[in-house]
Amino acid sequence: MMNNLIIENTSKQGLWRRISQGGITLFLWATWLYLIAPLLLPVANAVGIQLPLSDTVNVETIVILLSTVLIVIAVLIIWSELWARYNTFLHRREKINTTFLKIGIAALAKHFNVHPSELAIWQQTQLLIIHTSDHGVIRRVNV
Amino acid sequence: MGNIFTTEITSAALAFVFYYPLLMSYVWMVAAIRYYVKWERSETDSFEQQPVLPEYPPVSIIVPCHNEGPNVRETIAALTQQDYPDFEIIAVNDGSTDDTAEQLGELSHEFSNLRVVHLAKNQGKAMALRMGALASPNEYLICIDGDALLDANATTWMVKHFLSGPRVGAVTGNPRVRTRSTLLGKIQVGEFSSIVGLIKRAQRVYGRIFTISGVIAGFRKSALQDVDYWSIDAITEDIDISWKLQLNGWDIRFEPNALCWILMPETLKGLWAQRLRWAQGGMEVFSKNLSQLWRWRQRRMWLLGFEYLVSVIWTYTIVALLTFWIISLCLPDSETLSATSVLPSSTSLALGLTCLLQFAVSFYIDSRYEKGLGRYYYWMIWYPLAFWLINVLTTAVGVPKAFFTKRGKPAIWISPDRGIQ
Repeated sequence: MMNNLIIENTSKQGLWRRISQGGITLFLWATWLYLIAPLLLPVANAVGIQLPLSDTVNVETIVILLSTVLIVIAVLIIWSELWARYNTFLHRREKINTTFLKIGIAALAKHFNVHPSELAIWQQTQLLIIHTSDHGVIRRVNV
Repeated sequence: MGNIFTTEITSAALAFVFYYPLLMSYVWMVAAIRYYVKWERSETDSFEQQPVLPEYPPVSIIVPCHNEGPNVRETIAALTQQDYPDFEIIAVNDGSTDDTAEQLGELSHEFSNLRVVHLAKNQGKAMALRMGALASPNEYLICIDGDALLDANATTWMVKHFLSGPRVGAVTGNPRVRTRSTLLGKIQVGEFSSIVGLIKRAQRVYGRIFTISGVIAGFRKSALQDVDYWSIDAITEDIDISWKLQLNGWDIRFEPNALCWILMPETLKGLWAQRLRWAQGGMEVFSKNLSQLWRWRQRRMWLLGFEYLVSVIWTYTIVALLTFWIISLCLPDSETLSATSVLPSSTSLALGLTCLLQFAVSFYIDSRYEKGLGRYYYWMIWYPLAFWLINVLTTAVGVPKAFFTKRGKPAIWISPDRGIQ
């Protein structure tokens, strides 16, 4: 079923458009890989590949940054767990204090300022035409 | 002295522009992985099967339609295939000027569980939903757009949450992008997985969700009544109802198994219109609720509010930095405005790497719901460049619009293009 749901009519775009989109995307990936080459350096060295390095990148800065990121992630995991537990605690407390009230037709009719007996008919009707004011007030309903 | 001051401000702004999304990306990833490990990975049922419920209460599926002639037949036909024992469909024709009314008339003869409500004139989606809720005799409502296709098991997955607790006011489903012909369409596949899906999972862990997806959401009618239903003047009725419900103590759940296949814009013009509305709507809701957000009893909403506010400040910081940078290129003596500051550096590369890592994590989590999702990863290289820019610009334009738009009248908007079909 999923294959029928996805609409991928790439051919409806012009040939040049498709080629340029694919080409630019490839270029962006190549540029990206060039820029992050210093990060791949240890792996490349291990397998004996010489990488062209970008001079805009400072490896030391990236190592410090990644170490910081790891510390931040550790803190986030702890904080996330604590907040989630506090949130669960609050939710359970609210749940205990709640009684479930299903909305009745009288309350619904009162809310929309219509007559309950008319509303009961509308709720069983196959076709309704509703006229409202600009501010959402129901003016007339044709059954 | 002035130059040093300007340099310091620029450095601080650059640090903020870089570190904020980096931090948030890890906040989302960590929480989404927690959600996955706790609730998704251990799920024995998949979206292709159904959970067994203790009872199957009657459900109304409300479909607001405005000029949905080309799509409504497919939408209603898909809904009639719902694998749920007791449901009705209420299609609300919101003053359409095309053949939607005629098509709904024909469909109501074909499907006995389809009821049709015509609004005499176009009043906007919120009004259509209000009238649908009024016409429904049932406590549980599932609302989908007139051009969306609901998975056959989605209703059961959503009702499961309502039966699990009386404070569950709404459940939002998992929208999947159908239109994938163009570059924009392909990028949105990743965006809905990584930004929408991942953030919803994370926000669910933290207890409050910024917004349900208006295209697929379930509601408890007593919760809607408690908050006066959808606001007719809200340009994004989904964000508005999410905040109203949660500020009144109702819980919102995210159900990734409730799939809904949606059409998204595939042109820049359509995308711009949609994102501008989202940005404007976000600020409308935030400013409307700001006064009660600070109360102690609303503390579960504080994270949401804080994150939203910082995101807006982040947007304007980027706009300011870009403006200064462009000016610095034009001025002969502008050493203080470092022209190289927006070029790739170690820090921006780390941000790019984090962004791609976020996509990888979300694609892995979401691959459960869609086989072959991974092939769209190739196109995600565009996201940090193109979509961040689009989202920054729409926020920069949309936020002021929220303050200048007159409130009180029905918010009526036309759906942007629905992609190549």
